[in-house]
Amino acid sequence: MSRMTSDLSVAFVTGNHFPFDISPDDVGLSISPHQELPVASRSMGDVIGVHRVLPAGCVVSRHSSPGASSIDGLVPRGSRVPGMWLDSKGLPSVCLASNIARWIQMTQGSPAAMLSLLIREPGEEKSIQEASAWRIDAARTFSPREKNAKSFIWYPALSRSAEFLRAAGNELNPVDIFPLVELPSEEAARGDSLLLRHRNLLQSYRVRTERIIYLPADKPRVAYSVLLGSARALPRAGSAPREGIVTPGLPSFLYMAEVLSAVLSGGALMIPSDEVAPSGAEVEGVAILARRP
Amino acid sequence: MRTGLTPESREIAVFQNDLRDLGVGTTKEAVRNLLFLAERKYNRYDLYAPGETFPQRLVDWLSNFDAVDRNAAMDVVRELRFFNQNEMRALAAATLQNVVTAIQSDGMSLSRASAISYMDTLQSQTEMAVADSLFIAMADDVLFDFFRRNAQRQFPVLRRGNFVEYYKLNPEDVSDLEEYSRVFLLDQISGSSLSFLRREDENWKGKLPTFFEIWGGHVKSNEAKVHYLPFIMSTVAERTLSSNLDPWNASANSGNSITVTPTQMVPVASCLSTDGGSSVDETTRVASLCDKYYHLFKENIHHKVGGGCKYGFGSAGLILVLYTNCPNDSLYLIWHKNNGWRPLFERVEHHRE
Repeated sequence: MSRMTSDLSVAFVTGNHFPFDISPDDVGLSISPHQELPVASRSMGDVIGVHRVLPAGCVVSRHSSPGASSIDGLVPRGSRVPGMWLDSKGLPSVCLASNIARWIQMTQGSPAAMLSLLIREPGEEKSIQEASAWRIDAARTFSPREKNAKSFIWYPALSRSAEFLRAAGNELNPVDIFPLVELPSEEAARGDSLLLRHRNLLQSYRVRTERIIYLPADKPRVAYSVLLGSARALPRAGSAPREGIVTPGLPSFLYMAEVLSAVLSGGALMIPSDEVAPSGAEVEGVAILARRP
Repeated sequence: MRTGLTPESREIAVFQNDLRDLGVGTTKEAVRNLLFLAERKYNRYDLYAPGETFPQRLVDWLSNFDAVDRNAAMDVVRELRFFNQNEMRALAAATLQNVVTAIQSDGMSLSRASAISYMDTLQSQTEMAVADSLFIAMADDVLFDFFRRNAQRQFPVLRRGNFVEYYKLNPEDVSDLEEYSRVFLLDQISGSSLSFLRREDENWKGKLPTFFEIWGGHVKSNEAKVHYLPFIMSTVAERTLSSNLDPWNASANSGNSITVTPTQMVPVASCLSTDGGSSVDETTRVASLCDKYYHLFKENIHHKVGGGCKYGFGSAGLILVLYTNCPNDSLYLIWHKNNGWRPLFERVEHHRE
């Protein structure tokens, strides 16, 4: 897998009244078939004041629709790229990650570029589904052969159910696990019930306590930096290069920070392929990917 | 009976038998959970002797109680909250981000022209403000070295002089410090807030008044804002401190308002509370236990300041253990060793009589 070497920075802004002006050149993206152009246009106009919304096809081939060019076609190579806005509403998380990865790839030669991602409160939770290993860069699941050749280092959010993570662990067969635990948190204040819920997983994979990565949900920049640092430190050389693979967990900012760290570290995702990114009615903030001259 | 068992099953069976011998009935699942947490967390208590483990301590500790009380004592064990080194470091790192948040919410003049220029000005002004800050340890175990290195890695503009390892300095040394516009007082835990600020014999006592005795003139001449940042704070401490700060500000501090930002809040243990962790309910089973055995506890003058330790110092109602020590805001039952009592997590007192 190619590694995203870039000078990109990621910042998070909380709240739904942004403390900066939107450039008249900025454009919104509506990713079909997951988002409908009229709905996206209305939402982008109401929430952020971006009045030009372009239809874009999803970079995932099985979702591509005839006639809709993907984000590739909207990013002029090597020149100044207009600021782009993406609403996570309704987007499967794997598609969100792969579309962002494609934007990063396409803007590598650009002097300046910005992609802003609206972060919403969690929407309706679906019942537990089977997770599969997703290659963000290739916008598809790992083939069985690729999967067998990989030495996965798994970052599962323990806010997920034990049943889901146990099944995902069996499917992935990781060589090591770094569980992600929200701290500070209300649950952490009351005891270690979170660890007990996942006792079987932690014991069966002999996960040492020192492996647990604590992330503050209300400080997404810290969560993002910590996880990115860990994933980037994984050895990539040798006969069994390690592949960081993330199973993000709510709340929304933490979820997005975890997804973005997977994208920016050139890692992968281990989630149900139709799991949708937080898509509630309220916008909680924005993640800004900025490429500077 | 134990032949043919796996090592784990054997360990569970032995421990379950030990508990049963003490009259404590537990399920295999509960024993498995206890052993899991013991191995992952409790056994790493700094003050355990080499080779000493939580299960041994637990059996010994339960023997302190009359047989009829041992199941109630297990309610306490089930609510243990042990913060290990990694968790404390994570809280210290999150506290640094609280510093950033405090600085950024303090009326910066930021560019609105675009998201990127906003982020750029935010970053540069944050760095300048961080460099103009003083970080002062209010306790000797706030992971200060870790905090400093982590802060310097994120903000290379910070120098050694931005960090003061303990607030009790010689006043002459204080006046040697460079100018600053913000002071961040770092504390490990505020379980009752009484060590930080309390009214005693018509006088204000505690770390905060002592800090201002030493630093007051310098803080005022710098017109510095003062922030108190405990890594952990109890709901009882938050309530008590907020009721003490206003009168203290009015009577003693003459104009310097203190902002309090805890990183992790902890409620009163639910086995001691019937109002969702806001306060101790003395009618609960565990509160009765605290009352029954309190005659074995020896209050010293420092404990008396907090009205004793029956439900933890200042009635904080915590069952919380830090890997370095057990705070006295936790129930005395788990940490004291007076009159032959064998503690679960022995405490080393900060103050000697």
